[in-house]
Amino acid sequence: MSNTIVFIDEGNAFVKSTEFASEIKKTDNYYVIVTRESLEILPISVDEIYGIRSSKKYGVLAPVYHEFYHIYDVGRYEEYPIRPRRLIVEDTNSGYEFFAAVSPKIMCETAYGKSNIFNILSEKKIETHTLIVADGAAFGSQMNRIERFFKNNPFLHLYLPESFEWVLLKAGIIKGSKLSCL
Amino acid sequence: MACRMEKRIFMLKIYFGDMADVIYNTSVYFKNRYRREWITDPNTVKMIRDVDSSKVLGNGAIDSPVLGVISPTELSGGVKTLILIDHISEKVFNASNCGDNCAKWLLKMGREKDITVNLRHIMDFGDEEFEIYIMNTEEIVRNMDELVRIAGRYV
Repeated sequence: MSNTIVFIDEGNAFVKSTEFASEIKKTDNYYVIVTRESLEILPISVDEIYGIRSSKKYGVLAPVYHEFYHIYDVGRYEEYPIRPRRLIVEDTNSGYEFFAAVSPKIMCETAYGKSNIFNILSEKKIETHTLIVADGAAFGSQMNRIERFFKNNPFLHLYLPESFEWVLLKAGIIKGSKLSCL
Repeated sequence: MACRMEKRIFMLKIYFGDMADVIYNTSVYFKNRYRREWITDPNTVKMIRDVDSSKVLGNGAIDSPVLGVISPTELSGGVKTLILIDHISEKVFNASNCGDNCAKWLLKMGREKDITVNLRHIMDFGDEEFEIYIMNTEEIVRNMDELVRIAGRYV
């Protein structure tokens, strides 16, 4: 099977397995997986998690129109500019070094991986303006367990660029004819 | 001899994360095991009305605003799971087949009897106070903030 859209409905436990993740990474298919579970092993973008809501009904015979919507906007509009006193960066290497260097007056620390962001948030309530930076391209599995911290705490801010490389390429410091296509 | 009647405290008990011997695919289990008399049970009628916005016409027919008249097996995965939880207490079901609109029904059942469910995601039980026993850590949580801090370790 190649170049195919594959729909996997809920009730299939295998979507959490390492075997499934390993196999689908070898394919060029597009997978639509219906589940409420966090698929930690799959690099799912925060922008590719959807809910389904019934929004309209057309007449008697037509089904309710189900609309896909982006599920994660953390339910809060940020007021810009954000002036954080503390930065927590998912990355341990180049991403962390970059943010530590560009913001020497702001305390910058690494979370040592995306999974640890939940641990940091759940340890104790954060009461200084803190910006958490993580790669949105693979952060989808974390959102279900961290979104409540952001909804309820005005001191917490979340920045999810596609990736650190994306930040650099979009910054305008690297010239290339195809960059505008990103 | 005076006999003091202790009030029995019922509880919703949740095990978060992977759990052995849980009924994972509740729709398939429902299809094979449901009994027609469950559908006209007053509690089930209310659940179907609330969660699926559908009206029970009889033990084999439900009027859905989406699909027209359907059989019980065509109910939503969430309401089928709730019906199973309500009627089969000796099994543990995967309640992650239920959306957040099922949360109040789980809490209601937990106030009326002991029920145990498995959750593989963080369900939103709302902003009101509640009592849920988290089996992983053997703790009772009373609001979503407490629940998330424990459940997030396992899902």
